[in-house]
Amino acid sequence: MNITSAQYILSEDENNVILATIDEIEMTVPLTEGNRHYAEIMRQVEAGTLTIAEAD
Amino acid sequence: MSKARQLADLGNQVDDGAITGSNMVINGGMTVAQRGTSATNTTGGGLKTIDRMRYTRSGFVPSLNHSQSTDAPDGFSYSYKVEVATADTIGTSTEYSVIDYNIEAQDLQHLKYGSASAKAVTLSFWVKSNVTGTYAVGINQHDSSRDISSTYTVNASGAWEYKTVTFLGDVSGTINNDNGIGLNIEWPMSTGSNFTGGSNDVWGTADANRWAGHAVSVFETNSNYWQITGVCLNVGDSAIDFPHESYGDTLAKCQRYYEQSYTSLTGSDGKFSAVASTGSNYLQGPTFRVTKRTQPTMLAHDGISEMDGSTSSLTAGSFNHIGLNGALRLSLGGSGRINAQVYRYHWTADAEL
Repeated sequence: MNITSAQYILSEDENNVILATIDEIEMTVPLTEGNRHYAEIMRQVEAGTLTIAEAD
Repeated sequence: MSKARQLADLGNQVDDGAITGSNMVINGGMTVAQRGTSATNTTGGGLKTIDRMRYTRSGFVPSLNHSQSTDAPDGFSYSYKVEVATADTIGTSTEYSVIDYNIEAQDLQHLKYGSASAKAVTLSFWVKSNVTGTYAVGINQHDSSRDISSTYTVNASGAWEYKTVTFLGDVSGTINNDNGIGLNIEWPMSTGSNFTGGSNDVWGTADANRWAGHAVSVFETNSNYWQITGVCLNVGDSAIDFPHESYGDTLAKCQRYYEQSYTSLTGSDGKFSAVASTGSNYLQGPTFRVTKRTQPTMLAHDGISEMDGSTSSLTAGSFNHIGLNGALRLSLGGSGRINAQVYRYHWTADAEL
């Protein structure tokens, strides 16, 4: 899974989802451990190879 | 065989759970291909055509053509075919590529893994390849990182062959009762030596027996192919007849893991109609046909159209408040949104394991 960007998206002033570019496609990833894309994002964040940008 | 013998055998299968458990593999007949019937992948793995059937690789990058093929053994309509477009070479002992299938953990509690009464399972399938020889097939028990493998032989090039292998129940590793991965069935194609040692028919840890005895390499030569259909995993030490089911039933089971609004991205068929909010830059989100395994990753395909099919100047942003049964809304980019007007867009929801 090639993740090239990730940014939190706010809803009602709380981080609600991550907008991520995965395998060259922009996807909305929910903040749910059981979601395989979220799990991979957090694995790469822990490994220091990916940073999730703060919401605009 | 006498009727009395047949009834006695049937009774034994019921005792083993082979009948009541039926097939733990969804879409084993390769009938459902929501994403499309053909795809080429040059880099990453993932699910390409057939629902629930995945391609997984590490450090090994052949270019592959995936397809739902109408070439199938008698009694089946489709198979999953993987063909090498551009081969790669296994460079290190840790590189590998497999076709695999994940089963949800909470659907496997009847196997009683982690107890003395853990049940054996039998995997059966039809296979066809131009590469003859000994292949491994394994099961990875995800929660405990344990593996067991067996082997099968493709005897003749280009002929459908029926295979069955039985795996002992795992008395040590427990499958968590949750919506994560329970068992991962793995058909290795090309793999480094780290995974081919060890022993068959014995549960082990840390890849020790993962694909023991695998002696072929399908993806290291151009035009090699491997096809599979009729995949069945049942409780017990013998294979049951493949339990055919309706397309609608299989599709609904697949949609727990993946669903899309359309049958073809090139047309308007099934395009979701959504009302624009008043005062905010949102469109209504979809309700799913089938409750998802977990909150899914969602994608709105760009090209939001007007109700009459003409292209609007709006662009898709992100979905908000994604639940198991739908998403509340889709944020918009671009300009020109008209309050309470109906627009249309395509979406996908991915809750695969």
